[in-house]
Amino acid sequence: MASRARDTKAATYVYGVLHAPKPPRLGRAPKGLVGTGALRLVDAGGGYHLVVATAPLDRYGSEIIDAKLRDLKWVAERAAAHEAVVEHASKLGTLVPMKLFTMFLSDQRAIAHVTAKKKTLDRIVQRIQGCEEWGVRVMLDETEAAQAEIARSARPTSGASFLLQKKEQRDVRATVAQRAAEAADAMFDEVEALAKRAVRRSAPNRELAGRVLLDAVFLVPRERSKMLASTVGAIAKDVARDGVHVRLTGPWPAYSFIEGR
Amino acid sequence: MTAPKRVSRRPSLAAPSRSRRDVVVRPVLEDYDASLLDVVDHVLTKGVVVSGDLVIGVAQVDLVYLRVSAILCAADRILPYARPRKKRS
Repeated sequence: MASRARDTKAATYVYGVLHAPKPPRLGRAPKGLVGTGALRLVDAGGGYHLVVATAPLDRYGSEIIDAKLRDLKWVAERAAAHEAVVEHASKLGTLVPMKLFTMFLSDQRAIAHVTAKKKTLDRIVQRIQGCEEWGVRVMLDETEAAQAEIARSARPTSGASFLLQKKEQRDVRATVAQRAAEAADAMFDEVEALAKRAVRRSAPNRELAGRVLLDAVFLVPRERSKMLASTVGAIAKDVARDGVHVRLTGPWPAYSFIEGR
Repeated sequence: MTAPKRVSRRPSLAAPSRSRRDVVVRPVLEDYDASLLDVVDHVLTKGVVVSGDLVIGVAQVDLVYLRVSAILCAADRILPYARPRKKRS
């Protein structure tokens, strides 16, 4: 049963803000997060419709979520459910996807938020309309890369001293890292040229910084997705023998491009 | 030239982890699919979001952890053609 606006026992969980000229219909929608009510559309005016469900706070209160964030299984299940609804809603118009666990105290508060942010939303809709998000990661397998480099510069080892070998190994590692970093930069530049927007994310820690050479997200017009795939594919094929691996994921809803600005 | 295959984003909780490389994250990744971690990486917000009506905050430390997991796991799940597996006999 839908909760009343001021009912503090439940919140309004927002999957996204849909911009559609005509009132959309949900159709056969996924269920959404476990324990939440049926998916609903809430008219927020100006062609905006909130894709929401009622979330009981005894399951989705902030303390509960904070505690449960350590439970990857719990988070992952909800992330998958969230993503399924967002993907479904994306087909109904231009959807500004919300991140996981975006909640308001009531439908009214959510509507008020949309009304207050209308100009920002208009800009975001303009930006993401007809676009999809793609993720590109470029990773270095140092061992593989070094082997490839050694094989390439193979020469008779006769007479090579121990120290000389050591020095060569060091040089190889530096060469490999340098080449891989260049490949990652080239990847970013080439994909950025196809994208409307691009964000390069920094490695979450130092240990990974050496291995993850590129972790980027791109906002790409739908009609360029084939071009994107072949561009990434061509570079990936080119660098694979050097121990540099590329991973392309997508298309995603534009989660990373919904900041107001 | 082969077109790159899209990495499947249909998450499956049952799929076993293929991470072999990183012992540290392995326990976390057991029973997880790289694609599922990718979903988490994309949909989870960064930092704390408690402003006005927004009810929810998200602890930062866990996010970093999840991103590390996603990246490490992903390292093993690259585009199929990008890493020809040579059989050694």
